[in-house]
Amino acid sequence: MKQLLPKLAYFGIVLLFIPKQAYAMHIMEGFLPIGWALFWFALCLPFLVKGLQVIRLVVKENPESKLLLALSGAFTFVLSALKIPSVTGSCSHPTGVGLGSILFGPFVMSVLGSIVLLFQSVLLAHGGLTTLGANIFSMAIVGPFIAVGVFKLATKWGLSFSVAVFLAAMLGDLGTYVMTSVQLALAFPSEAGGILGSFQKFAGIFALTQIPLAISEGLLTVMIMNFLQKYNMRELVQLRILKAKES
Amino acid sequence: MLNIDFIASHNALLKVAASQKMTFGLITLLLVTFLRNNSFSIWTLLFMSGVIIFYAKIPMKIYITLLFAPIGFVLAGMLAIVLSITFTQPIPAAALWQSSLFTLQFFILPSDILRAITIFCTAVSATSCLYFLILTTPIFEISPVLARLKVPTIVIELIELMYRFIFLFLQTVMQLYTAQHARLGYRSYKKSFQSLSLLISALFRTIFFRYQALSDAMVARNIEQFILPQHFTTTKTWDLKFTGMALIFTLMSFAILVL
Repeated sequence: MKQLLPKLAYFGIVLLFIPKQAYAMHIMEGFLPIGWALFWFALCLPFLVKGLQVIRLVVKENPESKLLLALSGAFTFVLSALKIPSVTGSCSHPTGVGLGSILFGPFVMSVLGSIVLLFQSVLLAHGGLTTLGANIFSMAIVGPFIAVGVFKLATKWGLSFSVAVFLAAMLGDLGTYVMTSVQLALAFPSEAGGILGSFQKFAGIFALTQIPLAISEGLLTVMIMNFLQKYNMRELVQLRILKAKES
Repeated sequence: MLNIDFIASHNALLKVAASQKMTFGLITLLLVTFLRNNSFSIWTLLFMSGVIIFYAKIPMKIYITLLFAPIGFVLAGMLAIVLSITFTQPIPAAALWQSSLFTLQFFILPSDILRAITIFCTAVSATSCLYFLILTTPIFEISPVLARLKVPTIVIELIELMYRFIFLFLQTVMQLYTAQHARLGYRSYKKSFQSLSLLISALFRTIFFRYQALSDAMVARNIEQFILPQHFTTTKTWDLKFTGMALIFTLMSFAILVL
């Protein structure tokens, strides 16, 4: 029996560092009981309806912006398909949520993020259709809102642009993972510790990979924003005009 | 990278109407998730794998690799469900195994193991249903079905446009990446960070270049909507052989669930 613990620990560590760890951000097909799956779908609905209203308004005023929206959605998808250099030696992908929501706004990002997640499950088999609601809530709603909220707060407190972007992207990524752990803990509360105990376990398992990943994503987003400011100023100005219209 | 998309447009089930495949795929998916019955899950997994490999003629090697891809996550999730941790509470007598580390107490309950097995069966089986749907049905066949289901036009438009742009951008990314790689852009950890952020900002520029060109083209041609007109897609009727297969599945499932 005493030898079992190191073996289990070894097994756990191997599991955590296998290269496909990036899949862990999305809850896979069939993992959630149907009740919880429906619950998360219902919870996403108001945000998606509001996002659609915003999009309809923008498109009505300016039909060309439809193209820009689709292009930004594709941009987010391609971001999530890119591999981020990660400390653990495993390869993982950025969620692209921080960057996307700073550039395009949180409500628009919710709709775009949902379509991105749909494509991720249909084209890459990350996540699934029954768990789509839960994944939308954690990655396309909680993540963007945290990122934008942190970005606004940090700018208001007078922190530098780079620090604000870093905090927004990092906390947006971390928020997504904390939400995923909450969703899993709610669906599978442990007998000994209840929901809280179960949350600690799920969060503990993901924390090992997700915290370095979130820091990487934060750093990367700062570098991207710096390059964007340096070379793509005209486009950023154009985007601000579009965003001003939507709000 | 997107071999699922390639397989979806090159398989033996292309002649079957997308609505029929979607109905079958989604109903089985919901049943597996809703029932959470081990024997039903295993039966569905075997049946779906059979359909995917022998009826849709998708190479077995590719399918097996795809099926194993998400297993790492299931195992990590199962580990968290099986292992119980407590600080102070006494360990239940039913515990199969227990150990302690400083003040932490670890133990495994038989009921948790049973629960983890059910989750494993359900998750793998549901994944096979998802694969049935996505490996046999291309995206452009799904959007007419969405239109019939009264999904808002703007959403379908965005889906179709995004789908087109994804491939455009992936191509751009591959070219940029190859160019950077050839110049040793990913030689060290620090360099790869810099190269990746340059790549993304170049991609951002491409987006706006495309956006300008496309909106000019849109204005010039007076286009307002981006939905593939009906007469471009071939209309397919529900396939009898497929219906027969679905019936066999339903009868067998009924027998398994009742017996």
